[in-house]
Amino acid sequence: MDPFLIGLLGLYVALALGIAIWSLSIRGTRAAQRASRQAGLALPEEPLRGTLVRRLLHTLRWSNCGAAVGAVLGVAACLIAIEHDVPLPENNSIVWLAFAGFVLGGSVGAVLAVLTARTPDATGRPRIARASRRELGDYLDPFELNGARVVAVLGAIVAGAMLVWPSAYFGFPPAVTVLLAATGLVAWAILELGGRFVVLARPRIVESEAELAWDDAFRSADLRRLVTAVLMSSTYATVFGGFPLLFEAVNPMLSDTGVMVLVNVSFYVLFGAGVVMLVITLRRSPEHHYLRRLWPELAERNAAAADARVAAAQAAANARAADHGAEGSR
Amino acid sequence: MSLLVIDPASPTPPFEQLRAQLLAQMQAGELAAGARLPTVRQLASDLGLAPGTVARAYKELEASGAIETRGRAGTVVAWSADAGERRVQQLAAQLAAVAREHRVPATRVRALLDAALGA
Repeated sequence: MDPFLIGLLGLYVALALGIAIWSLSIRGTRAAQRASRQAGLALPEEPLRGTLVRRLLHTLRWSNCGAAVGAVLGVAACLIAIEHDVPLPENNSIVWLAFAGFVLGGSVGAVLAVLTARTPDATGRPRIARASRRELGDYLDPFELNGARVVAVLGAIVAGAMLVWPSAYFGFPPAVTVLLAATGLVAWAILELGGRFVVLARPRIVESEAELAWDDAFRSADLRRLVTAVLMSSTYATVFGGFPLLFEAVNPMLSDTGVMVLVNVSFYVLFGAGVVMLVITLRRSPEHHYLRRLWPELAERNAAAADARVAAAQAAANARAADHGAEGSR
Repeated sequence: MSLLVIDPASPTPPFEQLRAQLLAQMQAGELAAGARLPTVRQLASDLGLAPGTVARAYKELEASGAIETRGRAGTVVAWSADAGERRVQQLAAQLAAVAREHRVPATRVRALLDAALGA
């Protein structure tokens, strides 16, 4: 067995376990401050703050420990496969199976966190609920939600094509692509079913608008964890499987030079598409989609505050530049 | 953003609080026609109410034509200004039929209606 591969897998397990241990030892206030920045919501006063911190830590621990268990199982599967001489790719891409275990484990952990969360009892104070039905689209940006659906299907198509056309993977069975695509499909099923029937359906009695807004923020974060597992597994499956398929498809039609040019151009097109997707995602700030959809007044207030911060920073920079100019002219 | 607030300490029964708030939101346009309402079970558990309480509010709204159940789509808002007028027209036709059946004169029916509207 390649010592480099063993070292890589060992490092992977160590990282996954490290993240799980970190989440078990992290202090609630720091996690809450980070969650507040990500959610775009101010941290409330006690006793609501304590409730939120407990819920946040509960979710963080379940999802990170789930991810660590998934990574360990993924690595164990790799080692067992190697031990039993299961034909696998010659290169180190097998490490992606451990990655698939990591993202799927995190996804399962997030659903388990919701299932094991304690629903607080009603206190006799007025209770608040939304008058319209909760939908996935309220909490997930359509770019992410539909993107996950598209790549899950694409990954499955690519993996299916590789199974019926085995020579496409340079003579080796397409284990990594197929398992990543399968992970993507499982993660997609968890998103559609677990997302709808567990994360969205989970009852939660809330007694103030701030508590309801935070509840929406947590549901959004849970669902985004599920969507990330689909996006990562299926995108890698599509990329890993797409290139060998393309190569095999064009090989009989083009010269060696032509094939190399096409593969290189495809790589740059893919890279460019990845950068464009990243820019679009950053500009859309999907982590605040739920605010724009469910709490438009809050979203507008946040946007105005961000604009004011940018304007203040710009004014300060202009004032500093003017001071430097005045000193230079003296 | 349309929110429902149920006060367990209020003298108004919870089903009536729920019915009145949903209807007010439909009339104000906050809940547009076709909007999907939460399931009875979902809303009951979110508000800490018995499912029967929510079901009663939905049943009364459905009887008045404000909401309707559409199979897999669940309970949706059916209220609109036109729908209200159509419902009154329907009830007026029923009233006329009952008046004819019991030989109540049209002048007496108008007087009764005026009294009811004035109440």
